[in-house]
Amino acid sequence: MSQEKHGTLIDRLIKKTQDRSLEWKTSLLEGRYQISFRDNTVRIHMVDGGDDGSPFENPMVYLELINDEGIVAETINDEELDRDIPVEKHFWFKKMTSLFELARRSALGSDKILDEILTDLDDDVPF
Amino acid sequence: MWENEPCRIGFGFILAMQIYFVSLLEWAKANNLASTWSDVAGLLIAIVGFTATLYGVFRSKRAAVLAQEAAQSARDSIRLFDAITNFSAAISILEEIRRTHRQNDPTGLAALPERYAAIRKHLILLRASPMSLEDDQHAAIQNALVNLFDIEKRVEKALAAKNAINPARINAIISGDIDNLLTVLTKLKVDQGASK
Repeated sequence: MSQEKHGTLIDRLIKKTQDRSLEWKTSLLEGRYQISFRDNTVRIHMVDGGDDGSPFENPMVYLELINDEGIVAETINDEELDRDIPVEKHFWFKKMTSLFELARRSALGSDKILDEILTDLDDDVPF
Repeated sequence: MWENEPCRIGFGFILAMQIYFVSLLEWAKANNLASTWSDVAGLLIAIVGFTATLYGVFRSKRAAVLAQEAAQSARDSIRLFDAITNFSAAISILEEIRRTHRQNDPTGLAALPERYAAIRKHLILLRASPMSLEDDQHAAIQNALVNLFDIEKRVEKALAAKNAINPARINAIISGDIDNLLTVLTKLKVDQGASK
């Protein structure tokens, strides 16, 4: 039941980030991006396989649920979801990687930069 | 005798009223409501008095509603003022913390945990305040609280291990939070200006 809610959370975060309703922010912790709501925060990060401190060979994506005091209340990772909600091989890894990339782009403003550059290029009137 | 037009109208009116009241008295007698003119007069006084009382009650009710609205408005103004004061205090503490990080002086850094506690207190007060904030304003407070929690942990660890901190990274995060809180503060000040 809880895992299904995790899946729903990831789906909604992807959808809302895609339609730019959510604006992720960079976290103090390097390579982590977070989005705060009224009383809670969601933080995402990816640990590459072979990174220092990573017990896994494959990259893993982690989603942290942070409470109103700033404490990490729960951590979700793609392997747990792929085990608990089997859909197809690496289904949740692909989803969470996609969410991580969307969060990174939102926090760093990649889409905004791209839009502005494209607008600037459109404004160039050839004489 | 009746050359004067207003006199003629006045006499006609009195005659008409007399006929009307005589018929009213007859009707009242027939229905056992009154037996003399004084009964009719009493009935009329009662009707007029009752109407006046009703009017007075409505006026009092309206005055009470207006007083309640004024009290509510005063309460809202006080809450808004408190929120603005707390936001301003939170922002100045964050700016002070940012300066201390930048100076990277061991004595200043040792006092930081107390400053983190102070800023967290202000932010928690703001979140719990009865002042109705919008969701994105709450989110700005929540984001600052999460960042301060992380910063506090890192600085405490660095102080315990006598390691240096990375002020540039920490201050970049704090600056983002100051900007977000300033946006909320500006909005509150605009609301305060509009309510005056």
